Amino acid sequence: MALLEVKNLQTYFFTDDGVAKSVDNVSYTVDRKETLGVVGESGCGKSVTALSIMQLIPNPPGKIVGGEIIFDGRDLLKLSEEEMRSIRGNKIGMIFQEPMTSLNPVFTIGDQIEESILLHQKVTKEQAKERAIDMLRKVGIPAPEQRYAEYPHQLSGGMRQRIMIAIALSCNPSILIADEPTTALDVTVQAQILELISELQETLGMGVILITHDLGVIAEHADKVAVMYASHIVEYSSADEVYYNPLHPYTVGLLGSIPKLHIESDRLMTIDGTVPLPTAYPQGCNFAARCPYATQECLAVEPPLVEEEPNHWVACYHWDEVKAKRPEHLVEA
Amino acid sequence: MSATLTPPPQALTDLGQSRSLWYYSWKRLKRNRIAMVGFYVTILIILIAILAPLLAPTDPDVQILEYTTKQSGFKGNVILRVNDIPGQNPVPIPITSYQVSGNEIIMILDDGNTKKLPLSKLAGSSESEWHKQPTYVLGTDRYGRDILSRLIFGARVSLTVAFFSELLSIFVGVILGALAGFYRGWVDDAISWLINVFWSIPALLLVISISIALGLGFIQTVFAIGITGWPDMARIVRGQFFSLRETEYVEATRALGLGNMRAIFRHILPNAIGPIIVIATAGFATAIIYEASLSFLGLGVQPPTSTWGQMIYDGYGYIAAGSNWGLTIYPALAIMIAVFAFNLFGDGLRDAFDPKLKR
Repeated sequence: MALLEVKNLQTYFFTDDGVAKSVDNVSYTVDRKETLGVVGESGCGKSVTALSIMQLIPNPPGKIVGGEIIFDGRDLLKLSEEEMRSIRGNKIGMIFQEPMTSLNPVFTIGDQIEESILLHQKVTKEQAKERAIDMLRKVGIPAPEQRYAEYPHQLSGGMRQRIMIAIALSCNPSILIADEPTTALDVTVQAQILELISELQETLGMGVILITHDLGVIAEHADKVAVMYASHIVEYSSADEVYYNPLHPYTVGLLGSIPKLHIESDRLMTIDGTVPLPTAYPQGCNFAARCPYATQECLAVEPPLVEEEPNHWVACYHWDEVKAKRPEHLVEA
Repeated sequence: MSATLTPPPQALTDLGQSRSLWYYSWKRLKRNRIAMVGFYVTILIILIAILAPLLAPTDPDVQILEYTTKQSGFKGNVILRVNDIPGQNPVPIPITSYQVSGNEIIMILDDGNTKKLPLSKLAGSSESEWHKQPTYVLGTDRYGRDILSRLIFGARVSLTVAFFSELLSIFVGVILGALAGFYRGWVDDAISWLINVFWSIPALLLVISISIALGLGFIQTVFAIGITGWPDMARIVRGQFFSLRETEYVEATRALGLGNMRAIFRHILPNAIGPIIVIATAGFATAIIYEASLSFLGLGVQPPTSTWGQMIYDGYGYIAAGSNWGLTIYPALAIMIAVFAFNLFGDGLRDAFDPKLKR
């Protein structure tokens, strides 16, 4: 059994404009030392899934209306708020997109790392300090003893993200959720941060959920990929499978929109149309309106996520057609 | 792709001493000359209040009826006699001259009569102890009390009432404002409703009504002023919490498993401390005015304790009479200077804490 198992998760937001089904029937698993990449465009529900695992959905208007989140043999959705708090930051760590604003400006770096250690672990103040400095060293902060006493405004964005990682990992969690950890950073710093996460994952043996809209990041660092579109997982398989054998027309569209160095083309592939509003999803497949393969069946009944090829799940009635017709350069190594 | 994690050489990372936001706020405040004038005057007033017994030339409550409503600069000449009531201050006897003969003292009084007194009745053993020639720098009031001494002791009343009432305002205002801003929903509705109820009543009227309802005295005055002042504080704190609770670092505290109380008091409150200090300083000035108003109306701290408001009340009839205008003007000036200094300082603080002026 996997360390973390999300099963048929449904998180809805009850707004004035109607019910927004932000996460609908999402299932995935993450194991130790494994990286799950969750990819999709803004608003597809990838962050809401992560926040649902942490149970940090603002309620109201949000509510987890169905599904299970099995972590270490226990369903997190059945835990009390008290029990959940002992898991957050302790067993499951999370880092956010905005390192510039995710640290409290009035406390020193050291204070903020120690706080979580002191809260979750039975250690003395001295031990916590030792551990905080050790974490700073682990995340590659130069002169950790000195940085320990500094304030967030004295650090750059990349440094602050390293601090966030240090805080998230200070209690040795078994799962790290990284919600677009590099979006706000320079490209060179991005690479360093992702490399750091991979290294720490190797040494600490944790599972990582890497949420991003950057397919390049996923290709580099993920073992498995879940492609999300409009609140659903539309394709779910190993990273290699998703990259070299995409079966869903949306995945094909995404991969086609990346410029390739070795292919000469005047125009990049685009996906026509726009994402439907989460309060007004169509009856059938959410992607049907933008899909070149759509038929009457697609408009009538939502396609389920089915294991069409070994270890390769896809939610499309016409996956074999997609496989036959997809542009060949996509699947070239 | 392989990223390097080797630390840069020490020379590049040596950034000097780390400094808190307080340091920068203080630096910014120091650059603001007018605010610093306000700051120093404030400190001066506080020092005067604390050191009142050392600074005041005479006892502020001792009445010498022969010396009523003297002009400023009047020089007194008194012999101090032991009070017949044990434990009380010595009784001053105004004289024009005196001489010691044997174990008796013969005094020529102001009205020309002579009076004899055994030396044992004098307060103290040496001449400098029982013979005083105080200069009434600002003159005397209608009971012959030294105005300067009463002003100095009046600062004590004004500041302590303002301090404790402001403390009450901060305590109630911060807690209610924090709860309203953090929890929103019905908690916010209820607290906002309470704020609006308090605001719908004219503040001075509210202070007066509460102090009449509670009776007269120091604690009642503090309570009346404090309970009137909290809605201003609550509204500002509520607004701060509304925006601060949405910041990523507060969200991050939840992702770390911290509880609500910890988020409110440890993470959000310190970030709202700037506006709280600014409102508290302004509230302090307002509290001084309320205290003076209450005393003026006879509802504040009761006589014989000297308060500035009471001194204005005692003296304002003399302005109409065209004499001894100082009786009213001096305490009024004291109130004005204190309030002005606090406001200047408060304005300076607001600028110093304003992150938009970051330099």
